[in-house]
Amino acid sequence: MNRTDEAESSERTSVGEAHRAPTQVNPLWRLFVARQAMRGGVLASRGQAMLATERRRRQGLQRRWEGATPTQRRVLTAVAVVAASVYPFIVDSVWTYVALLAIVGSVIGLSFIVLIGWSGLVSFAQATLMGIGAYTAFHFDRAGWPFPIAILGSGLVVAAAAAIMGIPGLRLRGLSLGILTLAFAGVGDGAVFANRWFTGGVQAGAVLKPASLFGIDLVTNRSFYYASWAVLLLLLIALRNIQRRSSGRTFLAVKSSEAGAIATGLNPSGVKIEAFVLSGFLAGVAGALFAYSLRSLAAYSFAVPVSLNLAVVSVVGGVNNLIGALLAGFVYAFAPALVTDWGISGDWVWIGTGASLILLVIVNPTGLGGLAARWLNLPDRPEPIGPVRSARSAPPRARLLEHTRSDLSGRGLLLSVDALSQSFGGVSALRDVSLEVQRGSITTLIGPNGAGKSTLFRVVTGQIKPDHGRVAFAGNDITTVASHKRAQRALSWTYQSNQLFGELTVAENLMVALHRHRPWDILTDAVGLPASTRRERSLRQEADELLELSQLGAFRDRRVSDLPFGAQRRVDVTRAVALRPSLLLLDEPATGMNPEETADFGEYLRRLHDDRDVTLLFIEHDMELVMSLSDYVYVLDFGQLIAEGTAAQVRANPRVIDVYLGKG
Amino acid sequence: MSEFTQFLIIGLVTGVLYALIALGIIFIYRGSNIVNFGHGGFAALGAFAFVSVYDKGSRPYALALLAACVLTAAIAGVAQQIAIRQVVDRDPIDGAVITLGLLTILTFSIGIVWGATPRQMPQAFGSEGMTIGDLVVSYHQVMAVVIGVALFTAVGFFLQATRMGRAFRAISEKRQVAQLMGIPTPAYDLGVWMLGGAIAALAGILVAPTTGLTTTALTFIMVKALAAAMIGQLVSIPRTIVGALAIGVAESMAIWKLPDVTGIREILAFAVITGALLLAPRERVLA
Repeated sequence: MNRTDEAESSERTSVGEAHRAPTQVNPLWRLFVARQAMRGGVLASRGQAMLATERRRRQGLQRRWEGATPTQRRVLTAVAVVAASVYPFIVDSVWTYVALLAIVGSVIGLSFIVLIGWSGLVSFAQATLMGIGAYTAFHFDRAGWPFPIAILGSGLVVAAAAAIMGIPGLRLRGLSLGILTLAFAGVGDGAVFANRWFTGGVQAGAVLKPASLFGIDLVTNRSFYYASWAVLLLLLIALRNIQRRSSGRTFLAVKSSEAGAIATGLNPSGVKIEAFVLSGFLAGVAGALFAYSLRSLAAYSFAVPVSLNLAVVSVVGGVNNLIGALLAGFVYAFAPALVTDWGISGDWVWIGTGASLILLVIVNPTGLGGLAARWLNLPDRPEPIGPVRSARSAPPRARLLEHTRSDLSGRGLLLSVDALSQSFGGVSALRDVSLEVQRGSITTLIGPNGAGKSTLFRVVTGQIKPDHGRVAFAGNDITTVASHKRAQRALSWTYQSNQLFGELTVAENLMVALHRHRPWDILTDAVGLPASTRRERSLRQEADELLELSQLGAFRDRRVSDLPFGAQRRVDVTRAVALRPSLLLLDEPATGMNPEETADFGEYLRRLHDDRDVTLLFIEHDMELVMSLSDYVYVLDFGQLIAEGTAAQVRANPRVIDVYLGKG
Repeated sequence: MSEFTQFLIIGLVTGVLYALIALGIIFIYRGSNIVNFGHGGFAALGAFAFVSVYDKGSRPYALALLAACVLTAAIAGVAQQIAIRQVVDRDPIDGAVITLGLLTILTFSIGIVWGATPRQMPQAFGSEGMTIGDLVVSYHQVMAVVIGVALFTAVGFFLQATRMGRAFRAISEKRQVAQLMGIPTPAYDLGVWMLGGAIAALAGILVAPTTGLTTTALTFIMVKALAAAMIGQLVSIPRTIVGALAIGVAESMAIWKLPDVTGIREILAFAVITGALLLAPRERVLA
């Protein structure tokens, strides 16, 4: 089609349009026509005018709802709180009971959020855990304990059960874990809930007395409704606190990258157990609330298919946002009740739930909670604690720059690798390799592809145990020390490929490394103790200082996964520095950088070394970088050391020249 | 005949039934990389459809069996076209979550169509059986074992030795490359699920007289089947069969020797899965 034809056709279309009502034409078609007109170069001004109109219309469409403003959110929250408070006075007891179930469903939803949303784990046994909680509450009740103790006790018992379920699954993620937990649910059905002692015997059944609080019996659904609401609210506050603090970051860190977590001194298995325990606690509390709502328990309420259904409802509600749990609870209780009330079988609700699960996975994996969050203009995670903006303007305190944890007063041997041998299925990757790194030096390991550099790196960082030989760091034999423990002992490293925590911001990545995680952090964080808040503030400040040093300030609150490659590399190294290492081990850090980036990066390494007294050992391909930085160079070829010495010596070594340039 | 032999035979027959259910899971996993948690639902659908067509013996058994398999295959195909197809390029976990949704839909749809009253699942050859010593093994169970063995061989041969089978495996390993090699992936994707549905239905019809005709029972037996399949890392048919037979025999022996331990069979299944996962080399464990 030549230009005239095109122009004519668009002209004709425009005329045709004018005869019909132009405003009713499909906007996409108008856009198309306008584009065509522009491309033809004829009627360009008219086309442009149409494009501009179209753009305005589209913007208008977008502007219609840009998410709730803070005021609107506050009003909505207030309305929701008032509605929830007066609800049992406007409806009858049956509907109050439905609301009670919704609260139970919400707490179960929270238990899924901790597992799936925070930790990337799966459980198809939440109904089983909930059932164990319910029957535990029954036993507490029968023994005469008051309701708050029963709830807490059920939570703790189920937390232990969840840990037992989770331990065999520690090295698993995703589907294998799903299958394992499904089998655990089978044990619940076949062994736990078939145990007559546990379920109160066949004749007697598990019947609970009304919950009692401060001597008042909460006989009516209405009174128990308020008690349950209080529990749910407390849990929401506690989880929100965790999300905003270091233990929440720890979960996300392990979910984002286990290797990265290990490099920052975290033990992924430990963190996963914490997730199971916390999730189990929530499921146990849900079970106890369920027991006191029904006051008569039957084992089929906790059967394997129920576990699967609960997983479905919770994913429909959404596991990325705490709001998702509330929506899951609503769907779990109200959807069947409403539909049954209209005379339709409750089965249809489940069919609808299954269908919406499929639809949501395809269209919007964040679930209803994600939709609500977008609509309300809420971030996925609540704002973190601490001075979010102020610190940047404040001058950095020199504290961090002045001292590192390492004792660098004396020179001497920092790392020594002794007679290391390693083979993989008969192929030997390292043969009798020994090398030393002096304190305060910049040492490099070079060698062609397949020389065994990365194997050496993996042995020194503890990812593999060597067949023979030993590794000593700061005078201690660390050959058998676990990888994450090495990271805690001032030996720090970056991997060949970034293992950053993609879901966290740049500052948060550093904060994970700056803090040594302890299991009980989760308790102090949940309660929001002043000590925990203080710690958050100081971590943030330390992170800011590091950002200043690494000139990453501009990216501070950006998600790491959104950063350009060079900046990610720099975050990676800075995160390793945040551990206050005495030795920093870098595995081909300049790979994929252009010469300019490499030079810039070399500058940064030099500054780290000089200002922070970090000893560097790096594996590198880029000879220019190696020669400009290194004090001492080791050359590896086919698993053996072939040369060592200063940069100049190595450069002149004929064997090295052979290896790199081929035999002349 | 000794008591031991009797419990051994019972265990082996149960094991074959587990293996039958597991076979469909493996087939779909090998063809699409998705763990189909809806498998028990498809098996139940097949069994219920069979009961309706068979209509207490008014139509031939084989005809009813065929009709149920065709219907289930068609519905599995529809599910693949509507839902699974949308997530072929995504994390296989998305696919697995979708199959959970399918399970929910199937379970409750069956509830609506066939009602909640328990039904008798008819056996081929009625209630007659072979007498081995004091033990009566129904002809239906004998048939299940025979069909099972034939099916394992056929599927194994298909995947391993035929051109189409190789294409299946190529797709699940590297989808894009398979596409570049000229394999019509959309057609194969549909084929995997339809055949998987048919296998599920067949297994459901053969298994239901033993487990009882309820969606719960068939979801439950899926757990055992998954345990067996995990032994073969969801890939190896021979190892899955060995695993399924071992689980069946172990359960049978446990019931014989430890009749007082409640839930011994479920505990065994959990132990088997745990063991399979712990002993598997790390890189072979599923994502």
